[in-house]
Amino acid sequence: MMGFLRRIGSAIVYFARQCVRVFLLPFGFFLKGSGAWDWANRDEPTDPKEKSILRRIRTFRYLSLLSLVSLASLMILVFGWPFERAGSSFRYLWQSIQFTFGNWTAAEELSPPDISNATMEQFDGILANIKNFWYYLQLWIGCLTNPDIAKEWGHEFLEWITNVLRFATWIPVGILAFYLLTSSITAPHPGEDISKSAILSWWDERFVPIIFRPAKNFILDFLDYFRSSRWVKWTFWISFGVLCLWGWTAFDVIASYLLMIFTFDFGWFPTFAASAFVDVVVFFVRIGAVGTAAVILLLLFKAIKKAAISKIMQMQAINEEVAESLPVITAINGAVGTGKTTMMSSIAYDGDSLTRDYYLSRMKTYAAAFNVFPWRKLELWVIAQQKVKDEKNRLNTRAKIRRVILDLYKRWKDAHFAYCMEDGSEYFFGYDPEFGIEWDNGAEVVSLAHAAATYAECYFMYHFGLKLVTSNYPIGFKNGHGGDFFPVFEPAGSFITKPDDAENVAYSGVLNMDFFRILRQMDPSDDGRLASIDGGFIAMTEASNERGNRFDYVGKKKTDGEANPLNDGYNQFMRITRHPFTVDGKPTVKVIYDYQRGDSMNAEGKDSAEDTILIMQRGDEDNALALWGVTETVCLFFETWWTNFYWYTWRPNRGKETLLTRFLGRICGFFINVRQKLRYRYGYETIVFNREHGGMNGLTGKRTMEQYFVIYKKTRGGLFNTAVYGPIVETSSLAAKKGWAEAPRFSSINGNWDEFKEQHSYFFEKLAGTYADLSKGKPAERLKAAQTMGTDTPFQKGDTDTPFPEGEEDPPDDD
Amino acid sequence: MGALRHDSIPAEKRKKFFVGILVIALIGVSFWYLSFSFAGLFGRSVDSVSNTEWVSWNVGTLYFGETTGTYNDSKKTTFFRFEEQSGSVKVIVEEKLYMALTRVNDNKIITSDGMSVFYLKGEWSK
Repeated sequence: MMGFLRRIGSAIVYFARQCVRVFLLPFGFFLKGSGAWDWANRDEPTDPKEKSILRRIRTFRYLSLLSLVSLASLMILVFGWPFERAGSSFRYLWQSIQFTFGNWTAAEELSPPDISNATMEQFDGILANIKNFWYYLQLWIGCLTNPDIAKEWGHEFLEWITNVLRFATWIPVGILAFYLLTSSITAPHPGEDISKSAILSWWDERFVPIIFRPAKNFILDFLDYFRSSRWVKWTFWISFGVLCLWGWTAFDVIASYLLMIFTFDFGWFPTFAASAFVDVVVFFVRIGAVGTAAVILLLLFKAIKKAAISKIMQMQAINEEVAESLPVITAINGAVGTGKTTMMSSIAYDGDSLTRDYYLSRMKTYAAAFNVFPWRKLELWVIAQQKVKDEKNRLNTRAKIRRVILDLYKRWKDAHFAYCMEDGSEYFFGYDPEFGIEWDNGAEVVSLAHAAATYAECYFMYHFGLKLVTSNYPIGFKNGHGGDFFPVFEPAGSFITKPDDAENVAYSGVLNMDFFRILRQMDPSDDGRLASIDGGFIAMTEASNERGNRFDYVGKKKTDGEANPLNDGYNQFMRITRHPFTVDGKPTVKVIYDYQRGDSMNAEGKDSAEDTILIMQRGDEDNALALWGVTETVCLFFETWWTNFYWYTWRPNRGKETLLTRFLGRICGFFINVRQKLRYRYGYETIVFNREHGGMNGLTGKRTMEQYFVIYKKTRGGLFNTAVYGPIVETSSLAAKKGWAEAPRFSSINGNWDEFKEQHSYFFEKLAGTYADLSKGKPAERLKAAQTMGTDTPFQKGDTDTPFPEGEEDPPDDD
Repeated sequence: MGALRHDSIPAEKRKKFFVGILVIALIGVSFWYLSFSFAGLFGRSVDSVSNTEWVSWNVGTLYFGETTGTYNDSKKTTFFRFEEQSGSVKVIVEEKLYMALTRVNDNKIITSDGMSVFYLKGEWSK
């Protein structure tokens, strides 16, 4: 019996499937295009996992089709059938073609094509020419200033206000009810168990895993499919264009453009403009007040977002100008918390792109000057040099590359610029000297040798993609690059619009201090120091800790065998830093370091900085979004309410978690999340700094007040870690036997000697030494005796001479 | 036990909020007024003014018959004939154009300079 029923069931399912297939046959083209035409394919997968995936994809395809049909139906309902509107557009196109050929052949006199928008019969004749259009515009301006219209509107406005107030009367009742509800549920429940409520358990263990999460994932997957499928996307846009008036407006625009470029006649323009205007008006009339409001709000949000992005980009441009304008060595100082390291890291981030852009600009110049030179061959040669297995022959520094290119050129010159050598291999990348080996740049004649060597140097620094920043703390970079044959790097400001990507981050190079110590190094055997920097920005935080001042030098001598700040040649090197890093006449290095107090840095070190930036003020958090005050306060309203409800009322009074708290938490969490995201995406702070240029020997240099912007998307998006030295203490903490919770605490507001000793303070250590004698000999005895001094009663036994007569109260206080 | 602590929105942020709300309200009201005065110019559904009476707040009353009509202001009554064409009404007195009117809504008609509005009697009598 069961078998028979199962067979009947299978037959019904089969029949239903066939019906669906027949029904969907007209959409065969769509389904075929989208890859769904596979019911003829008998090679169905046998693996259950693959079967499940295939079933899911098929479901998505059918759902996509259903969604598109539904959307199309909705559009037909709103805008009506598009046949008449399409007819007018095709008529216009046909007229345009006729007019174009008429003009070309001059066969007959034709009037300019006239678009007749059939969906707007009521506008026929009125907007037939631009004169009427202007008439209506004038009429509208008249209406704007018309007192009768104003009165009528005022009446409508008052009516609206009355309606709003009518509903507003319920607000106090709602607030009271909500207050009573929250008060009743947050009343103290002493001894309440901390388990979940029964309904929350059902929610978490049944509803969410069985219904909610799968449904959510299904919808998200479907939306993802809908957005990513090329066929669905195209079908959507084509049907939107056909069914929406604006699709035909776009069609008319294309027809008009063709008309214009073939005839240069503009007689058709007024009617076309009026018709396009009508399409816009009718669109909003058809979607109604609610639809118009939704479209306007959507456009408004987009405009606000775009304006905010534009504002942040302007700030980034100012920041890049600051980075560009820095001299070779710059010191940054300011009070604690003013953002010295933040500013320096941000400058270094931009510095990477600026330096790279300079290398690229040199390459562009010489590629244009010697445009026949096989630059691609030179680039491949540079790349090949990095892959040479023998370390001694590997050209892994700018200097080595330049030297070898100049040598190659010299050999070529010695060979009288021959094309190839005796063994048949090419001289100097196979370049034909007939195309020129010199270029007059207006000031001097530049040889091909210099151009090729400079190009190779620049390409070497440019193409790797290694960040051109070296620092004594890690700085993270998110700007990547594209290009198959020639790498094109994203500009410094690309982070503003780039989606967050925590994975593709590159970091700055580790600063080897011995590189600067030209006289005496901490580790002279380290060959790596010699070329650990080859250009770019160098950022050094807490430089005063590294270099110190004259008080730190006490006990150190220039003649010491080991390196110290007096004998290492660091300051001397700083003064000539520009020299080794000059490429084509411009230094490609900028050193920036920060320290808190001017006095904490030695005078010579300070004098080596051409510019000193003193941060005067760090502004409060601000946001580039228009009307941020409104958005933030709305979000804060929910955030503070939630904090007050959950953290300060619910948690202290209740042990349970309930479905209500879960829901409320989710709703408020949404607003908390929105505020947080918008803060970091569009937030910024303004730093005002005083830049002193060229001051030395007590003389004040040129001072200017400038602005720098701390853009959160950059500075809080993994640029650097404000607690970079944390791991040093963390290691001790990990090795500790006792923890913070077991650490000693004061027992009263009068500290005792044992508590003071726990501080391991220099002061108390000194005192301990001074009073050490008290713990032995007679002082120790007296101390011991002091603990039993006096009596526990006011009178000694047998005393007759009492301090005050019997029957009197305690003596009054002195004051 | 009530709340042990209480968080509140900082005063500075509240101030910004109210300023922002004021700006939004002003923009919203302005937009409403612009669209209100604009919307009437389109979407007419009745073209003929024959056998209708129109009143204005302070200019006078217009009565249209089949092809002729009267215009009563506070001082006098003017007889005219009128011509209708695509939502426009030409009021002609002694073969001279006395007034050009444009239909705005079903219940509104406006002079060509946009300065005087007449409402269909019965529809707008507040």
